[in-house]
Amino acid sequence: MDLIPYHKKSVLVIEDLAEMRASMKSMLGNMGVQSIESVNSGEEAMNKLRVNHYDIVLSDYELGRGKDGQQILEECRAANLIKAQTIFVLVTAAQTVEMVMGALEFEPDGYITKPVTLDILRTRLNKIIRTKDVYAEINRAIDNKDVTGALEACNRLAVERPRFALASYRIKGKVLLDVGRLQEARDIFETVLGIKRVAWAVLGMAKVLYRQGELEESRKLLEGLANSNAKFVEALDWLAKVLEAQGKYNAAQKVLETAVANSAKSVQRQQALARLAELNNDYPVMYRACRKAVGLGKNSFFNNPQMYIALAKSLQPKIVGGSLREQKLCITEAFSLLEMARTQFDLDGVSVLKASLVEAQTLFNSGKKTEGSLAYRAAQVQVDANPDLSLDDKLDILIVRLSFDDEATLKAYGDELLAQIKGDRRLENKYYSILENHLSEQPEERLALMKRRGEELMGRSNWEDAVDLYLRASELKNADTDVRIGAIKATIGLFASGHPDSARIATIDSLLSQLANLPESDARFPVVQRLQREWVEVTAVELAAQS
Amino acid sequence: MNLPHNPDQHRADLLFAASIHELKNRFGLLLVNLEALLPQLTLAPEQQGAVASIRHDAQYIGDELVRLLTVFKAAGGQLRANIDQYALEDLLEEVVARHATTARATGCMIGFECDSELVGFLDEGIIRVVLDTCIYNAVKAGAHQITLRAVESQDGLRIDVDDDGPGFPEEMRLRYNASIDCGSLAPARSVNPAENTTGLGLYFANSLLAQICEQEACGRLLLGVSPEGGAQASLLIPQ
Repeated sequence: MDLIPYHKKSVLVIEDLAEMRASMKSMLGNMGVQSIESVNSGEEAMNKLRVNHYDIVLSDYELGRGKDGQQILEECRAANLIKAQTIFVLVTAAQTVEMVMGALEFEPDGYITKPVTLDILRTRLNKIIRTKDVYAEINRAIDNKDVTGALEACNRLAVERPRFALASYRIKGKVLLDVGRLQEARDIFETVLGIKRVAWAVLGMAKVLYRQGELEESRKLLEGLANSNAKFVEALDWLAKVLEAQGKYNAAQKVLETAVANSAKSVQRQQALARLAELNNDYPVMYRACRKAVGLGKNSFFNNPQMYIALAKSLQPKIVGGSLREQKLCITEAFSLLEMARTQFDLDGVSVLKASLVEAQTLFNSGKKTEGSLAYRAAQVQVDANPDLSLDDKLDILIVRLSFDDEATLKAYGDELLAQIKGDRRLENKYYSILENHLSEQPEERLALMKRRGEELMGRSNWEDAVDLYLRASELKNADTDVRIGAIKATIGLFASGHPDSARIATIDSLLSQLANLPESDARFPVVQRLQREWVEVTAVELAAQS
Repeated sequence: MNLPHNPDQHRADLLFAASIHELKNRFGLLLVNLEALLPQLTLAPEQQGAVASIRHDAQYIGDELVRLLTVFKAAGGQLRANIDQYALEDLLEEVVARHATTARATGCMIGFECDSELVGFLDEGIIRVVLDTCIYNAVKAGAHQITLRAVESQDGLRIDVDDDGPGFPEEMRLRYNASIDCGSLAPARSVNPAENTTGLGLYFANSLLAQICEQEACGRLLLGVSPEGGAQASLLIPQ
């Protein structure tokens, strides 16, 4: 085997303990490496990586309070700070290796477990470098953004070196997904899953399904993956995305809360959680996640103005209802956050608008009603004049408008929005969730809205969303017979349309038993009788399968 | 170990698992500090032997804690195999490199043989723990040479841990294999800690391997006689 020319390699060592840094440098020196630089934190590492190129990056996983090694890798790849050809190795304590391994999307080229001795370092690095050489052609093509070249190189590798066939499919699937060639990516993942149910292929397939709009299938795959192993946090991130697209914001938020509990240091994860909590009107969670995101986002590639604007927004309940001292502090902070967003970033039109709207809210909530309303009107003029607003943006703006506009104006805006949404399932769900949350203090209006929406969904045979909605409604304090009947009808529709869900059986049984006392004189009595019979029919197969 | 039904037992189990986890992490830190300290000391040649022995024992304790936690998780139904494809050469090379401290402290030579193109589907964490168990067993039994050999076999992938030690007593080996063959996960009666210190370790290693399943077949650990006339522990991993 050829000797590896370590004297030509440049290495960056990222290690927070001085002794370990010195020991790593001395071992690398022993192996012949002449160009070694070292840093003691993720932040310093990013600074180095921004200006220099290294052949090998050796990063400790656990780096104290700042970024960990996995995050450095993710950020480097996202910001294109390291080439595909660069070797990135994570050094971990043997005792924590199980925590560290399991990255499905951003995998390092290898792991070295501590204690690192010269023997181990040499053996592992030799092996990692030789393996990386096998992918050299593919990685060169990726660095040159030559998609065809990369795919062809993957095909060649799979044929010439069967040992690397599966690994080359993995790269191929990722490249195809990145450039949006979904059907081809799907074929690749299907092929791999036909051979073996490996986790990365399940995740890849779920991503394809999500992007092809097959949300329910995607959800099932991701739930299975997340349940199979607690360390697959990425599966939870994607599951939350799928649930959000399905309009199941509460469920999505719960999933992300679990993900954050497992791995709290990701800016994007915290921001996603904040966004969902906002949709769910859960300001305490929104505030915590925004606070984390801003803290983590400083000195990070993922730093963005939206997190500052969102944190300012999440301070509003404290501005309205906090102690005097708290109110004062939060008002000052909200303005200073908006200022930071405006001065540190080159804001696009939409962000300018959102910042103005939060500013108006802050003024209004801090007692300066007239100034707040004026600021809001000024922002509103911009809203009307801005042609770039996406429907998502307009829905976000709706949340703000709910606290400023009168009912007639709101209704007109809402109707116009609904017309623009044109039945897009995700956006429609989002629209109704916003209204539902807004009406949380007006239970009767909320229930009426949910009933209207439920009937509309059933009219369109959208059983799945109807079931979710009616079950949510049947848990409300003022839930009534109509809501319970709606939940049963929708679930029967779901089962009869070929999507039985055994997890729902007990819930519907219990709703039916709640309706058992309905007097015969009630006009709905025959309906309940009929539903009872239909329920027995549609569940017979499921129950037989279970027993 | 059964799945706990009573809440107190459940809490005790949680405490136990958390405590091993904590010990394992603290111990990892202790090792890191030790490795950081050692290069700064000037040691006499006779002290080097003691250092090798400390390193070996430290690594053994660390590996043992990892094993304990893995076995505990498996017993509580918390361990899920994470199957991916691995090149056996890479895997075995890494295991052997990690056991360089074992080799230095005990004078036992540890090597591996495997076709460089051989790949297999397995859970790396589980295989590491099982291989560690077999290697430490061989060292304890007094082997001077341990060879890890990986091949494709009728049953799937097979990794043998062969040594040149005294080997397993024949009766124990036959009884153990018979109990594994008939699908029993309980240790055979004669394989118990009182008679043979390795019995329980083998039983747990087998139960970990059993987490790796392909259709009807599950992983197994069988005992045999090595080509060197010593002990052979064979990991059979369905593909």
